[in-house]
Amino acid sequence: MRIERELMRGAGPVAVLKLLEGGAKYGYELIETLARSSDGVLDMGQATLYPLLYNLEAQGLVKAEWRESPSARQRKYYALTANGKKRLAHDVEQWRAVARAMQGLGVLQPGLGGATA
Amino acid sequence: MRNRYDTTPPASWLARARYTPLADALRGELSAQLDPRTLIAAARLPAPLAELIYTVVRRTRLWRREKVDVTRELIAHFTDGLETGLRAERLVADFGPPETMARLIRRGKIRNRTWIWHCGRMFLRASGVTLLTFTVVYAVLAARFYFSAPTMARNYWLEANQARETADAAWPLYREALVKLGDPRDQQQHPRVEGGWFEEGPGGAHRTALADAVKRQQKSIELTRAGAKKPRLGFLIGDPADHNFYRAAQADWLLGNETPPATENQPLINAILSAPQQIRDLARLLVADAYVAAEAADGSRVVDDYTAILALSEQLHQPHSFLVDQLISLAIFGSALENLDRLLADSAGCLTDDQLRTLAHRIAAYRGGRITVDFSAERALFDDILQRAYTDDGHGDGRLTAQGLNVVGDLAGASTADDVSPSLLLFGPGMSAVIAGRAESRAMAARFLDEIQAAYEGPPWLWDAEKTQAPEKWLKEIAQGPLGFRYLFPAMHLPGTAHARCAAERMIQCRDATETVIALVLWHRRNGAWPQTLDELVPDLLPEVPTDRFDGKPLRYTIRAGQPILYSIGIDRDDDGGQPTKSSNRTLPASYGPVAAGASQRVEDGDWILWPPESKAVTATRDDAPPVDRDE
Repeated sequence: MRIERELMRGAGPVAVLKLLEGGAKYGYELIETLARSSDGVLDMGQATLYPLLYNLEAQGLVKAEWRESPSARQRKYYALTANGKKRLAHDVEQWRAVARAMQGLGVLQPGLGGATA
Repeated sequence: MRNRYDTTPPASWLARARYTPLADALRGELSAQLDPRTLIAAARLPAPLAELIYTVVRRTRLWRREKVDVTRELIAHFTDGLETGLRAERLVADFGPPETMARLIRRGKIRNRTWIWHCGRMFLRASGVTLLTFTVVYAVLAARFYFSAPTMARNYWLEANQARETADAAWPLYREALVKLGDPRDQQQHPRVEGGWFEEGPGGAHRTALADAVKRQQKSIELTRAGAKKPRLGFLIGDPADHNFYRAAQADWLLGNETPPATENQPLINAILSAPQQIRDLARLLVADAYVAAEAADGSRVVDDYTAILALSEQLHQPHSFLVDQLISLAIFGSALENLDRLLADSAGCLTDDQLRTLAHRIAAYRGGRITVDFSAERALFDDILQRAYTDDGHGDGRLTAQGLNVVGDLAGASTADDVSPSLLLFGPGMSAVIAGRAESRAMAARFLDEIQAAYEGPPWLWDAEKTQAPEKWLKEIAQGPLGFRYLFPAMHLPGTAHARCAAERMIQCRDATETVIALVLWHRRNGAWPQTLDELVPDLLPEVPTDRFDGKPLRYTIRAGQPILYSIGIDRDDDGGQPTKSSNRTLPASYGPVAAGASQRVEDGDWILWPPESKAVTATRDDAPPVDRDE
């Protein structure tokens, strides 16, 4: 299931930052990982990802650099900056608060998303 | 013709050089690495993908290096996609619309640019918005400016004429006298008298020329004397009869002074000086005749000439006389007094006692004894300027028009053309937004004139310097300040108005002095000596001792080395015992006259010597008593 654009606008950047928490990744790798990890829910499409990455870079949350991949090809890798880590921590806390609120309303099942009551 | 989205790299060396980084160029390698097409070609991607990348990159409209970065990233992206086993068509389909992608990429990349660039962009955008706003506002102003026209509801020229009576008038005689004077360009046949000749005195360098001019111009002198006996001038501005008369007389030198018919509603300001200057010429001729008559001991003719000159001056004070006309009228009066004073010092003997009394009475009766200036015509003049410059909303207000800016040019003496100049066309709408509206300009001018009149109320020794100087100071401050442009019309038209009051006061002082001099001469004839004080002249020869216009006290008088000196304490308000100022009283400007105590104006130590004229010996008797030199 694909989620609404407005929800994706809020969730997309957090999702990308979260994926980069595990280490630097290149564009196509991020697209694939997002689709796989979110069971297609956060499959944001190729046309959305790169502008999103450029915006995160402009905000100083990620930094990009061209590197040679194991297959000897040049790829642009994105990695979290210190500001990016802070923002991720802050956003995660926000999402948890939303999840707890949703649980309270009965929208979410208890125990989901680490949102313990 | 190349397709816009053709991904083939540029072939010509010039095009390759254009896309080659400086480092490569210095190595002599035209790599064209800054051309996305070179990178796409090198990646050997399937055609649909190559075209998609180039389409997206081209549409981003980013800088070259940004395009290269995006190109490389998209090449890497699609190469990764192909390596996962996906077909090119699928990758193209998954990618989405290229125009959307290009727009989003452009936005993201632009956000990555430096803060300096963003500041520059903000500045440019702000400038653009400002320029656009300005253009729109200016366009609205321009439309209002160009498509509006002044509304001339009144013909002030005609109104001024309608207020003037023409029955039994002097002007037709003066007009004929002016024609008889002949063409001034032919000095041999039609010599003109110069004002400076009078100061030379008997035996002066131009005495022969003066006598010759008088002899040749007797007809004009007779006509002028006849005209002076008439009760009114009867001059009409823009009277076609004048034009016809001059043309019939072939007096083309006078046709240059002609004015259009009053019915044409011409600017009132164009009517200024249409007759007074010519009348001044006739008055000068009468002064010359009086000198010749005095030398011939023809006292009766002297009296006739001076009586006629005073009448000329009075006639110029027609209803609706402009201030400049009034000043010329006063100047004619002043010139008569000055030359009579000189005659009384040089050759009073040519006049009998009765003739002296006749002159004294005529001088006292000049304008009923009331020497003033009025600004009513000035108000009409300003209203006429406004009606030619502004629209009329029916409630006394209106907007400045393109023709109005030409009026400004006329006032400044820059041009009298009816066509609006290109520079005015360009800046006019802006100027119209800044320059005060009709009602505001009129209120400003009215306030100025009202304050002038209020400040100069009463005798000059009661004038308050702060009040008398305030209106012009205020107008000057406005003209030189940030609002100077706003009040362009009042600032251009009104300055100098206050000086007219001072000029009138100067004439009162000169009149009183001349009457006192006549009394002194009569006293001397009776007693063979000068009186010790002016009080001795009262009441037999003078009703009272005249007032010094500078302090309200009696006019000063002293005898030095047997010579009488009649004087005013002058502008320094300090009695220097009849010592003149360094500069000659005769060379002071016409506007010089009594001013308020403390007025910020050139103050010279010394007194204003009213009589005798400088370097003149006084011969007061009829028996050619030897002149007594003035103590210098």
